[in-house]
Amino acid sequence: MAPVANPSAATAPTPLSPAELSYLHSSLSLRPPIRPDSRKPAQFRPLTAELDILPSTHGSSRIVWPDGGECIVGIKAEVEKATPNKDIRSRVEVSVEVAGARDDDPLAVFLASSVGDTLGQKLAGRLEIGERWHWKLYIDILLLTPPVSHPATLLSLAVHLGLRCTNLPRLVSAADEDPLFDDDWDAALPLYPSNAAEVGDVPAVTLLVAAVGENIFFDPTREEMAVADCVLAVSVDWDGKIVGLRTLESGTVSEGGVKRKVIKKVVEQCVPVGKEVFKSLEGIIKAGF
Amino acid sequence: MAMADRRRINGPTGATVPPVFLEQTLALTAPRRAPDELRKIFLKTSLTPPATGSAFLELSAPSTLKLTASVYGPRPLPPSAGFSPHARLSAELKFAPFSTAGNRRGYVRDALERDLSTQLQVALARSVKTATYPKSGIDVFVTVLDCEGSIDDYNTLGIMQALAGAITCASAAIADAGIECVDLVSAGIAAAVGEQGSLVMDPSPLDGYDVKAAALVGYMAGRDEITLLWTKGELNIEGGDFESVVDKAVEVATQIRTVLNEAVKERVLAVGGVNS
Repeated sequence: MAPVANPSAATAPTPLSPAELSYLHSSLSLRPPIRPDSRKPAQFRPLTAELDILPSTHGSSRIVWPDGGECIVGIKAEVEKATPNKDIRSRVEVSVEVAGARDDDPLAVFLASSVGDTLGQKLAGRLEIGERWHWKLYIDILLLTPPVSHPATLLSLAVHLGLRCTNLPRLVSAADEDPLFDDDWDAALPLYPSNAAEVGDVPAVTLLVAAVGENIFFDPTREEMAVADCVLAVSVDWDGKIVGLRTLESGTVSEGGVKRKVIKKVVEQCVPVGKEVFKSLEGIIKAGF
Repeated sequence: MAMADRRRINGPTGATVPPVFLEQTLALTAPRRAPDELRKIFLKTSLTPPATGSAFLELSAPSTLKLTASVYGPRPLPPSAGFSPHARLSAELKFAPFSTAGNRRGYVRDALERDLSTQLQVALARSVKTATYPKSGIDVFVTVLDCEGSIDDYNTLGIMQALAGAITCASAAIADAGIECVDLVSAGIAAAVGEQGSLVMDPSPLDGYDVKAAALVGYMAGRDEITLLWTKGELNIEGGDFESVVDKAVEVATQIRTVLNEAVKERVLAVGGVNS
C-alpha cells in the first residue's frame, strides 16, 4: 500500500515549466531581487478586512486576499467546569475547514496546529472565570476559496482580528460561586481590552517567509514558494519574540538545505516586519469600532 | 471470639495492614544526565528484508524510544500521478497502537501523525537528489514502536524526540536503499529550561525539565545546512536566545551524525565484502 502521491492543496504544483522556474529562481536571487509582481521583499499584498460580521458569534472577522483567498473566522465561547491536571491550552479549540479539501487534508491539519501553537498559553490564561470555571473558546476557521498561495498568514491575521473583537458576557457573581452573567450584551467585556496593544498583550501572528539564496521574501506567492530554498512560518509576538517556527515544504528546483545565517537573517527581519504588521492590524481595529 | 458471626466466613483474627509500596517511576531512579550529555543510540540498517532500504533506531535506557524506517523505491509513479521531472518523496510516520504508555493509539492516522509525516518529508526531501530519478516515487515509512514519555498535543518533547529519531533513522534507511543523496540528515533537539533558560542538549521528557522552549533541527553536517527547523515556546531574538538554542540543537545533530555515519558505513563495508 503506497501512500497516495497526490499533492495536497498547499503543494499543488505550479503550472510553470522547469525553465520558467529556473528563470524565476535567478530573478529572485539577484541583488536587489526582482519579484514577479514587483513588490519589495518585505511588502505584503494588499488585503481587505472586515470585523464583527457574524451576529451569532462572540467575535468574527473576514479577510480577503487579492488572489481570491478568502477566510472567515468565527469565535464562540462556552462555560466549562475546570478539571484539575488538565493542560490549560485545551481551553482553546481550533478547527480549520478548507473548501474543496477533505478534512484530513495536510494543509488543514497544519493550519489548525500552527494556529493553536501560536496562541498557546497566553490566550488560555485569559479565559479564567473564578476558580472552578473557565471559558472554552472555539475558533472556527473557514477558508472559502481553494488558496492560490499558502494561507498561513491570511489565517493568522484573520484569527488575530477575530480575537481582538471578541466580547464575552460580564460576570456578575463572585469568583467562588457558580458563574452568573449579565444578560445585557451591551455590557459584555472585550476579551482583549482596547489598550491591549499598548501593554503588548495581543495574540501573535504568523508570517510566511521564503529564502532564495541570500534574499528573503515576506508573503511569498505560490510560484515564489516553488523556487525557494526554504519556506518558514514564523510566529512573532508583539514584543518581537519568536513564539513558534515551522518549516514548510519548498520547491525542488535546487537540492540541499539553508545555511544557519540565512535562518538567522529571516528571524531577525521578522521582528521589524512583525511590528509593522501589528501596527496595521491596530489601524484596522481602530477603524472597525 | 464469642461475637464471631458463624454464618459467614470470617477473616483471620490477627489483622494485618496491606503493604503499601512507594510509588516509583523510572524517571526518578535514573541518574540524571549532564545537560550536555547525549544518550547512546543503537542504529542498524537492513533489518527489513523486503524493503529496498531499512533501519532500526533505539535509544539507551531509561529512554524507551524505538522506531523502524523502511524505504521503498525509487519505483515508478502510478499513471494517475501525472508527469514529474523529479522523484516524489513521500513520508509516513505512524505510531504503533501499543507505542504509548497511557492510551492506546488507533490504527487510523490522526492529525499529529499527519503533521509529523509532513515534517519528516520536508526534512528528507531536499537531501535526496530527486532530479536523478524522474517519474519515480520514493516512499519512506517510519513506525514508532515505543515512545518515551506520553505523546499528546501539549507534551512537546515526546513528540519532538519521536520526530528526531524518525529523521535520523529514515536518513539511514535512504542511504541503505542506495538512493543518491547530497548528504545524510541527522536531527537534534535542544531546549531552554527553567527560569534562567539554561540550555539542555537532547532533553528527554523523562528528565522532568520545566521546558520553556525547544528546538528541533534536521541538519546536514557535511554541508552545514539545515533542512528542517521546528521551535516551540517563546524565544528572544535580540538577546540571542533563538540563535543559541538552534546552535545547540545543531551541535546535538552533529554528534548524532557520527552514529549515522557508522551505521551507514557497516552496510557499505558489507556490500564491498560481497563484491570483492
